[in-house]
Amino acid sequence: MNYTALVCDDSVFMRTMVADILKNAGFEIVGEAETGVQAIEKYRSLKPDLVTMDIVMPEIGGIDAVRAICKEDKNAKIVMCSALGLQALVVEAIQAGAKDFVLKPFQASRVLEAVQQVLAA
Amino acid sequence: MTPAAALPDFSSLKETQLDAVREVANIGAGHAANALSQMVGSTVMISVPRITLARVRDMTPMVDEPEEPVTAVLLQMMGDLTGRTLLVFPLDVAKRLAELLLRRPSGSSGDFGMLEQSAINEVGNVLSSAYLSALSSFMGMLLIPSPPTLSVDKSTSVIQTAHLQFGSEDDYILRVESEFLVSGSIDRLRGFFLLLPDPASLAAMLRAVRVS
Repeated sequence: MNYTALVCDDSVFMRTMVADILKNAGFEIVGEAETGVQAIEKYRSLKPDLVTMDIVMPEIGGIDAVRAICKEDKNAKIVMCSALGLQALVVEAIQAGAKDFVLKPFQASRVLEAVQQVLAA
Repeated sequence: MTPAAALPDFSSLKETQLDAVREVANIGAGHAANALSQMVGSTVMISVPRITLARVRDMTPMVDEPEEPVTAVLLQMMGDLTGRTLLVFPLDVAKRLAELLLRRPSGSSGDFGMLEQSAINEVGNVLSSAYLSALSSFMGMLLIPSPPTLSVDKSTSVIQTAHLQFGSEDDYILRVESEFLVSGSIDRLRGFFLLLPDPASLAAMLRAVRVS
């Protein structure tokens, strides 16, 4: 089965990197978002199987976007991909509804490990 | 509160205090270098941090040629400490780094376009986050970087812009500078990471490492 993914990061470089990792693993990238607001809107319209989400983004941050998405869809599968590895933020992201957290810089294998565990759960 | 009134007497900082700041910076730089190493797939060496106390107008650029074009990624530091971090690369180094990050052959990139700029911006984001996370753990403080902003300009202009936000040209500022070198490549890829704490934050840093 080909899973669909929405990639959310304000950096076009990071969106490209994450999308390439997922595409090489057989995912279909159905959308990209560079702000938290876009992430919420695109999740609503695209209903992806998986979301990757940065924390620091313009307009609404990634954790708030996770919270908003999970409020509408408690089954949303969201993996945080962020350079900020502060424990408090990791806890806040998980409490908001994220299912896993990948710290930048990351290896492709770590991203795939996280998404596969999240999708299998 | 005017910048001049807020500044401590930097000239009276003791060697023990400077050593403490240097050690804190070394910890942060080590983590930042490790992060860069993972991003480019090469070993990254770092220098012993250099501390400069000078008036804004006397601050010297890190690169040899003041008119040399550089890329600079600026992040505001927020949380228990405030100030800013600045990641500076000579422009030709930034182009080569972008090639490494994008897995392109050396010399294959033309203009320093949107994707290349985004790559360097993300390097600044990741390195600053690694640096501040290390400081956060070491000092028991919450430190969060802002989103990064990239500029491409002459070295002197970049330094002036970053430092002038503290106050006037006559105001003293503290600059903690770490030089790093990406080894294992044909080119010499040299960059600089600057920690520019606000005056009140410097005092808080010293308290956190218990240096009076």
